[in-house]
Amino acid sequence: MQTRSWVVILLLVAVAGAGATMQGRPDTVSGTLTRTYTIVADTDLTGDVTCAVADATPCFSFSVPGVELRLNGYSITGRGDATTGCGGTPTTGEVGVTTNGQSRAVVRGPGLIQRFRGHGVQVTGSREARVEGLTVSTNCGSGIFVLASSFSALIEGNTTLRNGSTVAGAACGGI
Amino acid sequence: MVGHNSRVRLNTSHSNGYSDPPDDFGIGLVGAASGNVIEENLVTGNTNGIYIAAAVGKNVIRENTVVGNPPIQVATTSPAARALDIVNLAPATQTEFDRNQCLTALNAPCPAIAPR
Repeated sequence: MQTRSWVVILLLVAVAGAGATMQGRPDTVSGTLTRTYTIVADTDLTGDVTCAVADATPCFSFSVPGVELRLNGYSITGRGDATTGCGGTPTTGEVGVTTNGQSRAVVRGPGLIQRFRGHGVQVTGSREARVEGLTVSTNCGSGIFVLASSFSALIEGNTTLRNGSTVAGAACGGI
Repeated sequence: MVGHNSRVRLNTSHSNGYSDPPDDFGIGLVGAASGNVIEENLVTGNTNGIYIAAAVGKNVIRENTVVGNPPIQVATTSPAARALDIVNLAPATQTEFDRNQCLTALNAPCPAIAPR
């Protein structure tokens, strides 16, 4: 009887330990992405990311609330031209990062998001999203765009450069 | 930004926007954006610095430095373009301006270089 109790206790400790390990270890990503990277846990860039995803699809998309994408000083680069971005004509949906309706999503710099043919970061359908410490450059649309479906976002400490579009009636730019 | 009840603070926006049409910006409130606070940002060299569209709700613009918008080349080659440090197209009661530094504006308290 006593042996059985110890086995049960050890099993419980092992299961709890495994859970703690899985929660404590963030996902990591670097290199070339050919499909949208779905964020399901805290995620760290461990190198530069080049996005070669399909037209009109995001590079990174949150799918759970309350987690972070941390750039750690690396870059996320889209398919726009290095000098002209998209030349003024955006491709809807082709964004660097979308919060995709997830609340308390966090995109945290330092790091560079550049050359997307849509917005660099799109905060959509989210409450209390945070976008902090990024450099956002040469995107077509806005560098960081908070849609009408989002509330109580914090956009803090970012640098936005050379973003915009030429579409009449669709004013955009840095933030 | 079209969202609501958000804070945009301590950001730097440079060199954003095309000049044709001249409605791009460093920081913008468009659509029906309301309840937002835009504060302590540095906004220079954009087509427009801070752009507030006609249909937005009540928002606060305070303690920003918004100068050098647009670059002088835009004013030279596109003199008809309405591009300024602050462009406010919303009704006068909708936007609260407080202690911003700016030189050129439409419907905003500029110039103000040493705001009190």
